[in-house]
Amino acid sequence: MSAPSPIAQGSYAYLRRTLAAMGAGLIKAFNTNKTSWVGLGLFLLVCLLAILAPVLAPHDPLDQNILFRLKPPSAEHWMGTDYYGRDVLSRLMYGARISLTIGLLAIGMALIIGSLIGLIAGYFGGRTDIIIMQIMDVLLAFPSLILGLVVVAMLGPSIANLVIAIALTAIPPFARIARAPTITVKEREFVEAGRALGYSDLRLMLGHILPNILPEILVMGSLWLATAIRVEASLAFIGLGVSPPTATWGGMIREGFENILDSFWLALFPSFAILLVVFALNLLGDGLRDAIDPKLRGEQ
Amino acid sequence: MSAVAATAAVATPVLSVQGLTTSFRVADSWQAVVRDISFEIGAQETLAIVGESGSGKSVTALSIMRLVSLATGRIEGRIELDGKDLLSLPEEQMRDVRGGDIGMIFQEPMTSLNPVLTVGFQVAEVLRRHRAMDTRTAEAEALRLFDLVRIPDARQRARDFPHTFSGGMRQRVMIAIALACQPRLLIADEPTTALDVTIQAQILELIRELQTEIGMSVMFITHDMGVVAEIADRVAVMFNGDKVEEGSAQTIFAAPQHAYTRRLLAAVPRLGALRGSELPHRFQVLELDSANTRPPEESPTSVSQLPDAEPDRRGDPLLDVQGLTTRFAVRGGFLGRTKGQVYAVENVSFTLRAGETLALVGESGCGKSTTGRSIMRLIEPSAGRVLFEGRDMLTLNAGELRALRRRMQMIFQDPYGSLNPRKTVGAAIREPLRVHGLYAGAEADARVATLLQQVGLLPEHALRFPHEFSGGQRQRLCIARALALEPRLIVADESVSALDVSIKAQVVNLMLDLQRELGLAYLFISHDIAIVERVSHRIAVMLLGEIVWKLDRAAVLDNPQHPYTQKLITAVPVPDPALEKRSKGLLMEENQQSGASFGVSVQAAPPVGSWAGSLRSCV
Amino acid sequence: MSSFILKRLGFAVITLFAVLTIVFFIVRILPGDPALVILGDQASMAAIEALRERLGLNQPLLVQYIEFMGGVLTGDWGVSMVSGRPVIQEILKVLPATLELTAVSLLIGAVIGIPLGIWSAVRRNTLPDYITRLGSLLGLSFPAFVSAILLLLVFSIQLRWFPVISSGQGTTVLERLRDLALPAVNLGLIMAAYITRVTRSSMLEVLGQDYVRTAHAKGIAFSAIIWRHCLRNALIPVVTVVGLYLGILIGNSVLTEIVFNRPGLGKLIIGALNQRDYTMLQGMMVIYTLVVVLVNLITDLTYGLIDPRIKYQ
Repeated sequence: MSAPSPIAQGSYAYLRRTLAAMGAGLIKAFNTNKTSWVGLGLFLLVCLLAILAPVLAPHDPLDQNILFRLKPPSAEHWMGTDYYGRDVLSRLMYGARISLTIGLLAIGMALIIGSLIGLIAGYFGGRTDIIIMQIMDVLLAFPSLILGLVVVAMLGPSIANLVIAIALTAIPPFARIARAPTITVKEREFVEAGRALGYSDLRLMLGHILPNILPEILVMGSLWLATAIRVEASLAFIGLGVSPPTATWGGMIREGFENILDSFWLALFPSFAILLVVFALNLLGDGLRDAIDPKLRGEQ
Repeated sequence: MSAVAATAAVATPVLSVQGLTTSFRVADSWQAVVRDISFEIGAQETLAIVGESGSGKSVTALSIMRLVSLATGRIEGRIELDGKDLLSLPEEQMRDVRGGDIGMIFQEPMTSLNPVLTVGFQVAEVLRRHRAMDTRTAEAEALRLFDLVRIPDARQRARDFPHTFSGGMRQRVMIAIALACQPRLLIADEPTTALDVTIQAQILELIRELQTEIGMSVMFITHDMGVVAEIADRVAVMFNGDKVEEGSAQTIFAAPQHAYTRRLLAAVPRLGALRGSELPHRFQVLELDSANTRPPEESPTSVSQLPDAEPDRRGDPLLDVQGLTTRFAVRGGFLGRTKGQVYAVENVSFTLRAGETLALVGESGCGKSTTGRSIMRLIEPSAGRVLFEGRDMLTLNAGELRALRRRMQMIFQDPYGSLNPRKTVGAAIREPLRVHGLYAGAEADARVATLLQQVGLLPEHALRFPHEFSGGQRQRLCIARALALEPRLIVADESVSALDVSIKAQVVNLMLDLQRELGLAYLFISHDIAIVERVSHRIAVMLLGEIVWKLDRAAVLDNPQHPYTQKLITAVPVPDPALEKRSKGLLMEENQQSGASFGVSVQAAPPVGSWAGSLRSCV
Repeated sequence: MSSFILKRLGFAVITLFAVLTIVFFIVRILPGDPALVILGDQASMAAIEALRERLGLNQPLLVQYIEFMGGVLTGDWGVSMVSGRPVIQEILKVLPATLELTAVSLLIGAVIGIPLGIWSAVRRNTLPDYITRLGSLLGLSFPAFVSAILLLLVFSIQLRWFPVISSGQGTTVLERLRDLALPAVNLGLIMAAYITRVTRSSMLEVLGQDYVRTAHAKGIAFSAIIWRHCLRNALIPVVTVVGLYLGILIGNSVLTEIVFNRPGLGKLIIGALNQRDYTMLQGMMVIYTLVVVLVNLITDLTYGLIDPRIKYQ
């Protein structure tokens, strides 16, 4: 047999092809359910407003003005002022930074730790799996808000502690999410073929199984980011958020709720802000889930 | 066998299909899956519709039942049952036809019954619906039907849920449901494909008998020419949505007119075709001449006249397995304590030489796949010796094992599952080269290109993803990946079972060619005796974890001594309708099939319940 | 069947044991010193030391653990550091109000969510399905306190149909219902959003199963296929998931009770947090654990009732 000329120039060509295919797959996933584009757009908009808050915010979010207390929306203060005369719109924009930072960090942490736990449990199976998942189930069964509440109460309310508390409650679900497809993928013959080819467990787990379960994990990531933002706001509403006077959405609603009878907009605007972000993320994640769900995929 | 002369024109057809076209909505256009096909089925006649996957044969059946989803599918043409136009019936009246005038059974008995309802209820339900019986009468009639389809202990079993039944028994329940209202027509959509060959023989015989008893017509859909020869009066061959040929069973087999039919028949392995020969033999691959058909996967090979491969008889065998035993712990209870053991492989011994093929034959759950995996130590065996190139695999540490395993590779059943969908095939073939430090850089790329050519693909295929290939091509890719490490032994676990018959022939040919070129030894694990005859030098028959018979191929097949081997061989449908349709005497109750009745030591036979449950991975 | 119940029961006991252990260690091992948390930064060393002694924090961890577990089993959950009354009494006093709220909400959620989910699945990719999906997605995007505030604004403050502060102490059935209505609707609608989505996707999966095709091939009427063949199969995952949503339900009930100023576990735990009532907090964790384990046991058993395959595993 004459030596044929190779078409591929090294692994770089394969990598480029793989990345291109992933990009195309992502766009296709977004197109499966167009609402995910809407969700992504809304979420990016909020992110942009949060990042650009120092530039865009009309006032200093901490600037108190006793003369302009509890003013309804006006040309000067689009969303009115709060009990201390601070501009609600500006506080809203700065509050987004807190919500997004805590949410992204907590979910990032939970996603990495939880997925690795689930991957290990699912891959090795047997007793390892039973013990790990038993612990995860126990943690999962416990109400996350209560757990977060107690952890923050003991540690004290700071951004770092909130991240830890929320991440702690989100690790078990990610472990569960990663484990189920790991077991399915592990049973596929390409994994066994890999073992026959002499690949190590680590290579099989990270190089072969992980890329196949990653879409599911990332989709759940966006859905859990929504949950994390909701939990952070709930904790702040209870009084366990980042300490005042820092603007947080939950904290703003808490202050607004105290003046609900005469200045209802104080609670209303941050409420809508939370709803918008959570809804946008849910739209995004839900649309993408339709695209990757193997149960729904085969129906067309 | 029906009384109707097969060649006679159908006088008053039970079912008449004229110009049937079924299309599905794909994106924004309608794509026809079945194109303008017409056929008739006479009273008590059996028409077999034959075709490979994607031929539209199942869609034809669903169209007759009008079970094609209205949202995504469209049925055109004319379908008449006893002169009644089915396509213009209101949905309510169509429901009277379904289950009443036409009964249907499906391919997957394991999933076709509702898991939360008792089987007795599911049979009685259809009686209450169509024969206006009250609950008690329906239940009594259901028991009678259970007797009719020969489910033993009917009164007791009727109260059980489907998961307590084996696949063959579930298919009997499905038949009871389909025949409950004494339909004019039975549509059987690949009813035996998911079953073991001995169970298949029982189900086919049951359908034949009941056909005479009830006096119904049968439309039998299958891909298996052997089954066709066994059951059909007339045959319609479908290809790619078109009916390419129709005729009596004798004519189709004796003098096929259409090129596709000829190609199909040439690719069908016939048990006994190599009688008297000791060596494996390639299939003859015919090319399709008409332009409107899809191109064949491989061009007709120029090497068809090469000599058949002979094993290297000198020196020590490449693989020497002695007393191999693998038992699985049954875990349960708290924290997965071991509750018991399942004996998957018991005391299995055999040898294999370079350039030789040993076939491991048996039905699902017999331990043949576990044997293959145990040899490679993908499953840890409990006892025995596996000498490969003179070294005992079972005593090696992880590093030595990895090095030695390079020389023995595995090809799996599912061409869709055995390639990582997220890796380009080039990367998949390159990875083992890198992991074992064999080639790097441009050398590795050249090696990938060579390997792809070696299995009949092109170097530029390296940049594609697995989903861009057909099933047969994927199996070639798996072979290329296995060859990357230059193995001497390949364990082929049902490697061609999932492929269409014509593709199967091509892949088998490739494997035989590679064996001759590279001197490969194959451990060929299969349930399909006809294929096994084609590829093997020697055969070992497995039953309940033990090898019950082991000899040169000719000796096993031409003159089977062991009763189980005899049964296995008799059960294989022969693709020749001229042979007298024999009653195979196989209506033995499948649940009684224990090791003892075949002379296997009873010790090795595990309890049937745990056996079936724990060894699903074995299939 | 009885062995299945026994197994689940044993499992519940083990889980209970495990969670209580986790609760114990979370309260003890987290870096905050309970005594310091209770008394604040300004407290003198002597006061802190005295409190540590009183709480038994100076004893070895193992002794504390055994005492804690023993106390839980014998009903001695300690004494509230604020009111001085036994923790278990305080909890039992408000527990019925919370149970009433969550049970009614769950009922509302199931009554709305299950039929809506089935309907949406059957009408897949039609306008009603899109509206249901979007509506339920919006529903579960609401933080419970946000929806509670909106309900309060509209129905209590603007329309004045319901009291702003629901005492939960009404004596007549009508009064109790008036108190319960808004909080229960708030929690119930969010639950309905979750249940609708689970029912829909589970129903969609069932509708694609081979045995549903078999039922069609038998000529069974469509409604009978849905109710007789699909519903029970579809409910199997719904029951499990409702068990998993219990955590969300409890969290939301806390927020709802705060907004509607309704007595219950929620207000009790917030009070305990604000007043640093450490023994009360510990008792709250125990009661939540008990509830969670009990409900999961019930869902497991229900599951066994619905699915005949369970008994044989």
